[in-house]
Amino acid sequence: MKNSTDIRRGMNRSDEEIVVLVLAGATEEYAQLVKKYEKPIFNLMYRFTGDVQEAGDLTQDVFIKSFKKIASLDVSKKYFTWLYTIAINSAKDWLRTQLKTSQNKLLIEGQAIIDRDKNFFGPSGQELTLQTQQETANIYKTLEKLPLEKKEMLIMRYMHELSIHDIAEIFCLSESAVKMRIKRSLEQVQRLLQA
Amino acid sequence: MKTDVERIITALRAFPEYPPPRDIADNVMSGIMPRKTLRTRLKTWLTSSFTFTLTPLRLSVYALSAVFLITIPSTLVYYFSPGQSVSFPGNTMVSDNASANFQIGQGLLKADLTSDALVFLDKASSLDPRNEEYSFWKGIAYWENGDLEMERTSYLESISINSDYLPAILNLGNNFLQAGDYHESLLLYKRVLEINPFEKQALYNLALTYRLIGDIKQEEQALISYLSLYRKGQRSLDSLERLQEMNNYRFRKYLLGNRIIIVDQANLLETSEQIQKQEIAYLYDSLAGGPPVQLNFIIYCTEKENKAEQYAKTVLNAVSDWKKGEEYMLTMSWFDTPDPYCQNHPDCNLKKSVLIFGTPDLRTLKERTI
Repeated sequence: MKNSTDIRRGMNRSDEEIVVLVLAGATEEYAQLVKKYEKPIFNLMYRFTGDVQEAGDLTQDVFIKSFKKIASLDVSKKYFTWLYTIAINSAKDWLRTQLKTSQNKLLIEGQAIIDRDKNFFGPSGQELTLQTQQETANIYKTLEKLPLEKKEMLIMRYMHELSIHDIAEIFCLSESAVKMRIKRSLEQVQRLLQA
Repeated sequence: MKTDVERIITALRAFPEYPPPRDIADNVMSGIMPRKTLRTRLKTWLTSSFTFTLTPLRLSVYALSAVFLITIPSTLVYYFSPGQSVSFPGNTMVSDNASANFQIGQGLLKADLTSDALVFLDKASSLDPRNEEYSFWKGIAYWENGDLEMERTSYLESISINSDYLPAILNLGNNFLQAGDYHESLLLYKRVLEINPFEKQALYNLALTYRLIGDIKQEEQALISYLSLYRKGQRSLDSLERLQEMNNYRFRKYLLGNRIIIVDQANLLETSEQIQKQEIAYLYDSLAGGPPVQLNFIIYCTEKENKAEQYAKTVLNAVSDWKKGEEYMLTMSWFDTPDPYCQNHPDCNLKKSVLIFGTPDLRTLKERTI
């Protein structure tokens, strides 16, 4: 870890430098990390919830959680990977809560209804219409059919360009398991497209 | 030439992202900035005035707390008395009465004490293994505890006792849906709908499952069945949106007064009087209780010449019939041209359609004069 006197002044600090400043008491510096990563985290939450409001609330929760836990961050790890782990776990907790909430509805009504959230639909067709080419739109539609975790792995690998090692850390899997899942997910998408 | 996999990877690299809400950073920072010291907060609390009001809810809470405080000492005396065999808490076996265990289990479930609830519900189910309801609620408790396998086993137990026990069949369908066994869940939802064709959750989840297995045609039919019966709430709006994604514009939503109302255009422009009247009745019932609204209909039809006028007359008759004896204001226009929406959306193939606008009913507005 760098000594605080070595930290560059100015706007373009690295994530590690900002973390050091925050730990040293400069809480206001944390805003830089929030602004840098709010978009990928928000989009991750949106892919899970399908709702802008909900995704926004969850994004805030993730950043607040990561701030509270920042002292436990291993500086040998990338901040974004660590943040993404918190985000994925929060998204999964949210899913469980949604099922629980609908279960409470069941209890109140005394009827056999377990609501399944529209999360099962995944993100709406709006994302698809951003692309003009039909082929790309078909690929995105096909990706919606993948389970959320597999889709997230593909997005992390190819869109966010995280390493296999990083993805393995986020999902608590071995690197070979991650490679296999990514390979199989690509094959599955390919098969679905051909069908 | 790119392979399929290369195209998929290229698409993933360009995966679109939405911009986040603008206030995320501000909200996060206001959540984490240092709080006031305890001294400051205590000072504020001591020096600010407050009012105390007694509400029925507060009174109930105080009363229950008093009962609880009185009963705890007597329970402890009972527990520590020699010769008693009560174990406490969580494994307290009240009696060998199945119904009592069931009631306690349900109560604990409602109080979110899911592990304790499972003990009692399991006990109830073992004491009365022929009761499908006990097995069903045991399944609920397993689900609350995150055990999907045992949840499934419990519902299967329930169904083996009563093969038509709808709650268990529906929940089992949802269990399979959650596990990704779509074909199993399809069979179960269909079974539910055989027993109760109006079961809302099964209708909706059936459409959902068809979508997940990629059967667009069946999904479309299932969505139409759902919207034919249920037109309120977010799921109805989602179903409508999904149908329109499939270029099915049979249902349409209108903002009338302060309400969003989904109307079945096919029913409204149906030649059968009975079906038309049902749709008109639904439309006016949906507006009841809200601010008075004058409805303005515009009918478009490209079936043949003057057909739009014919439809307009049938709608007018249906309204007049339904509103018998009541005053109402309504305007009606018709055009033998395509719907303006279809003119801008080539995939839209509506041969007949109706636009409905709501305007304030002027008869209810008081005239101001100087």
